[in-house]
Formats: sequence, structure tokens, C-alpha cells
Amino acid sequence: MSDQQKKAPSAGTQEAGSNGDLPPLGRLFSALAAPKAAKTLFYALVVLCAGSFLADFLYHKHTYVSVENIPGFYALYGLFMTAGAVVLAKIWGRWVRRDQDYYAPYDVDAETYPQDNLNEERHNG
Amino acid sequence: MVEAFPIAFLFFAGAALLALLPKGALRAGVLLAVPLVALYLIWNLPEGNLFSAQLLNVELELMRVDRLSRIFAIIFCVAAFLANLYALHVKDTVQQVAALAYSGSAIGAVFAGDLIALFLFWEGTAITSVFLIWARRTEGALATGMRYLIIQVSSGVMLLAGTVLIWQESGSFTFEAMTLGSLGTWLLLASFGIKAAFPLMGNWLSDAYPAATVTGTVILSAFTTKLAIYALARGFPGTELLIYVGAVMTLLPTLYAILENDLRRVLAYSLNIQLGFMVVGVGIGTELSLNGTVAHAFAGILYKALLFMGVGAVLYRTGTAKASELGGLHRTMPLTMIFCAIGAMSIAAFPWLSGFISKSLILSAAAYKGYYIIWGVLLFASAVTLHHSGLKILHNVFFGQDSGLRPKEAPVQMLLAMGMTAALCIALGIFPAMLYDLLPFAVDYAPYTLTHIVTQFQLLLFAILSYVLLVKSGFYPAMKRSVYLDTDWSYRRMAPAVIGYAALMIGRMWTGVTRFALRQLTDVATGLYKTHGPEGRIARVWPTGSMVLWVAVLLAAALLVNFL
Repeated sequence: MSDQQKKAPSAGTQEAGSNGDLPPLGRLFSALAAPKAAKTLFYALVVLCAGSFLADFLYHKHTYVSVENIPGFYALYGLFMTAGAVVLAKIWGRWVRRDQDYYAPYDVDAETYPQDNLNEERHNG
Repeated sequence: MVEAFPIAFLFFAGAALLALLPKGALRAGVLLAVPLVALYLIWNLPEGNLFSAQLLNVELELMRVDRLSRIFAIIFCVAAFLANLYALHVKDTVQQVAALAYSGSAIGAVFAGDLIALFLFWEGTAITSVFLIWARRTEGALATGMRYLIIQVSSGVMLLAGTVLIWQESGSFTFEAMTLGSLGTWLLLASFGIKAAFPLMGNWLSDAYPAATVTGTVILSAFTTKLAIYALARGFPGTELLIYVGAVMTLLPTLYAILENDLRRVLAYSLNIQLGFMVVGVGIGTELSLNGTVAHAFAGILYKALLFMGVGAVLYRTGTAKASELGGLHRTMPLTMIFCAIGAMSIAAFPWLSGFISKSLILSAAAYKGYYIIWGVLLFASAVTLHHSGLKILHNVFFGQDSGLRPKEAPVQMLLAMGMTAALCIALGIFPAMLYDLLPFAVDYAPYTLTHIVTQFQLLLFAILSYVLLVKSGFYPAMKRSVYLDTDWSYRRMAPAVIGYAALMIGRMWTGVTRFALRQLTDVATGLYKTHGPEGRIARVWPTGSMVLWVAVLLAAALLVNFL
């Protein structure tokens, strides 16, 4: 405990993965989140996507809706509809975005969460 | 010995006991034991109307046990147990009592056999739950809680008004399936609709839930809205209108869930979307779709609670749940991250997780009945849910830009609660029969077909791909400290502004009118004074004799009247 607190000031600035304070799982995830590994993960995702797309040609689909018969329908739907939603949200956001204290003081958005309900233990103080 | 008693009373007794016990282990014991004992009792109850009570000449059915009410009561007990376990560190008596009384009211409402009993417990959930928001003890929470309470209570008032009208028509209070038509049924639908967060009526949900305490939000997320889903499934199965209402519910909150910065608000919006799925299921009204609604409520309570627990743990350790302030927490909160990921995969309906086996019942029901557009809408909502409730939260809290925060892992009771909830999410996904056996109708449905698994993976993997590409290209909306105006703006800003403006205008008009009238009156008075006053021109030429004459006339008139 005290050991961790001594190291605290440097913990925030240390490179991910080299921090001895981290729990083992945290170290594992840090390794996965490192830029190189992230790139590999991205390519793995692309391969998985391609694989699932091609899988459509390998088996007999049991369908109820006619559009389902289009090869890769679910893939295209997932890709473009979600992207479309994000685009729409972005446009809509320009209209309805306001400062955080727009409703203050009658809203919690601009407030800090009361400390006595929290237990902010940190590795880096 | 009494065969059965209202399970709600067990919770109320527990809540009363809590206030008497000293803080510490004994209270923790009560908080955990009450839901477990209730679960055991409910599991073993026979079906039928088991308990009735007399209230002002009305027979109240307090324990209507059938397959529909039993499964909701079961999941409510499970949710109460998990939420209380998660909140075991809380020493605040108000929150502890409110948690038990609130879950008890919800269970009481589910078992209510008539509309009067439903109304009593319905208001009970409103009044007890608001304390979970007020327990934050800030000015903002007080105001938010007040808004929440006004809306919840007005839902209850509508329920009561509808009940009275229905009683006038049919002479019965029994709560059973209705067809829309009379004013009474519409009032009931509106009352349920407010609590189920229908479009334009449900903004209280995303307004109030993020304002509650860390643990309060977890408890809130389980009961009120699912109680409304139960009431809809009981009262309005097969009402076609609900299909379209539900479809809109799955669409509108999506934009806000994508934009919002406060992650507990993101989850509140996504909860609203999940309710949309359930409402569609009620609207279709086939055995398959109603099963789907109930199954989705069951699974949804668990994975939603899990997500609120995960984000709540982050709030508990860092003091914020805002995406703009967080990032890189995978280093020190890896277990919380894993649980969040399981919750996210469940809500996004990955195969072998709970959302998959429940959501697909509703989607299939829509496709079988030929509602193809609705099916497409639900499929879209399903894919985009992975974006905002899954990837956005995982990315902004646990990965993404490093915030420099190195919080400790969540405390052990939170980890335990999250672990158990996550285990349930996985167990339901792998052994769907566990859930299907409890559903109101017999289930003849196989969720794990090759087609279904492959297509679902396609949908979700490509949704992930689109998220990654959008974030990488910098096109995904940046998380900033801001609020996004939703329909609550109409009563928080527009209505006060309109009323304020109207008051100002009416005030001005009133001043103008009175000033004008006063001036006219003054003018008349001064005019008369000028002419008829002591110095007036007319007074000058009045002889004293004319006054004497008039007095004589008056006396003569009085005499005449006296003699007549």
C-alpha cells in the first residue's frame, strides 16, 4: 500500500505496460493496447469481418425476409446503417448541443459528484 | 397458518427493520437476506389468487400468481439481491430503506390482481425511488428528483383516473387484458407509457437516472420501467399501436446515446432503446413475441444492471462518469473492464450471451408476422446498440486517450456483484432453457441455428468495423463537456419561458387597463367636482330654496309610500 503511494507521482507518466503497480490483467491489457498490438488487432478484425462475409457463400441460409438472401446483407447493414446513424447524430448534435451548465443549478451535469459518497483510491494519488 | 402473504410486505418489514438495526453487518444481512427469502418463497408459490384484503369495501387482490407475474417477481428479487450486494458499502440509512421499499413496491405491483392494488404499489415505486436520487444531496439532484417525482406521480394519477372510468363502465377493478377504446383504457395506456418511457413521454428516464447515487442508479434501472413493461404485457397485449411506438423508441434515443458525454446517461438512453424492443413485442402480441418481451425484460435487467454497475464502479473510484474525463483505465481496473465488456456483449446480443437468446425472439416474431420494416428497425437498433452501449463506453473509459487516472480496482462487494451478474448473463446465453422454461408460454424456438449465429456475427463484426473506422478517421462525435437538448427542454426551458413571457404580458396589460380605468374615473370625478362642487359654476346658480323644495318632495314621497 505505502509502496504504491511512494511510486505514485511517476505512475501517471510511465509508459503503459511498464508499471509494476498494475495488476497482472492490467499489464496484459496494456500490452494489447500498445500501438503495435492494436494494429494487429485491427487487422485481425478485418480478417474476421471478411471471414464472416465469405461464410455466407458456404452454407444454406434459412431466411424469412427477402433481403436476407442478399449475400452479406447483415454485414452491409451493420456497416452502413451504424455509420449512417453516427453521421445523423453528428448533424443533430450541432443543433442541440449546449454548454454543460445550461441547466445549472437545476441539473447535476455541471456539479462534481459529492466526495462523501465516493472512495477515490488511486495508484497515483 | 396462512398459506401465502403478500411478498411486498416482507420487503416493507425488512425496510422498517433496517431503520431500527445498527449500521453494519446486521443491516447488510437484512439487505441480502430479504430478496433471497422472497425469491425462495416466490419460486415455491402455487398459482392463483392467494391473498386478498379488504380496504374501504373494496376487495384487493394482492397476490395474483401466474407465469407472467412470477417471472417478473423472480427477476426483481434477483436484481434487488445483486444491487444490494453491490451497494453493501453504503452506510446511508435513507438509501438502504429506499432500496428495499422500492423493490418491494415493484414486486407488490407485479402481483397486484386489480387496478386499485396496482395503483397503490405503482405510487409506492415512485415515492420510494426518488430518495435514491435525492440521496446524492446536491442542489441539482434535488431539482432532478423533484422533476422525476412529479412525472412519476402524474403517471399514478392517470392510472387512478383510468381505473375510476373503467370501474364506471364495467363495474370491475380486475386488471386484465384490455382493448383500447374508451377514455379509461387510453388513460391507463398513457400511465403505463410514461413509466415505460414512450417517445416524448419518457425523457424523465435519461434526466433522472444519471442524477442518482452510484448504487442508486443500479437499483433504479431494474424496477420502474420493467414494471411498466409488465403492465403493458398484462393489459395491452396485441395492441398494434404499440408496435410503432416501440419502433420509434428504439430509434430516437439512438442519436443521444451516440452523442452524450455522461456515460450513465448513455446507458439510460440505451435502456430506453431496450424498452422499445419489449414494447414492440407486446404490440405484436403473439405467444412468441410476448415470450420475447418477458425474456428480454429478464435478460435486460441483468445486463443493464451490469453496465450501470461497471460505470458506477468507475464513478466510485474516479469521481466522474463522463467520457471526456476518462480513458485508459484498463491498466488498473481490468476486472471492471471485463465485466463491462460482458455486459456490452450481452446488450449487443453476441451469441452465447443473454441478449442473443431474448432479443431474437422479438425479431423473429416480427419477421414471422410480416412486419418487415419493424424487423429492419430492430435489427438496426440492435447493431447500433453495440456502438454506443458497448464500444463507446469501453473505448472512452478503459482505452482511448489516457486520462492519467490510475484508480484502484473496484471494491470487493462491487466485483462480486458484477461477477455474479456477468455469470448470469453468460449462463442464460449458453443455457437458454433456464430462461425459456420460466416464460409465460411454452417455447418452441431454437436461437442457435447456423444461419442465426453467422448472420449475427456478420452484423456485429461489421458494426465494430464501422466504429473503428469512424473513430480512426476522427469522424465519430468527440466527447465534450456539454449537454444535449432533448424533449425535457420543453418543460425545463420552453414552458417556463412561455409562462414567464405570458405572465409578463398579462401583467403589463393589467397595469395598462387599470391605469386607463383609473384615469377615466379620476377625470369624471374631477369634472363633476369642477361643475357641481362648491366652487363649480352650476353650484353658483343653485339657490338655497331649490334644496328645500327637493327635501319637501322627498318627504312627500316618503309619506305616500307609508300610506300605500
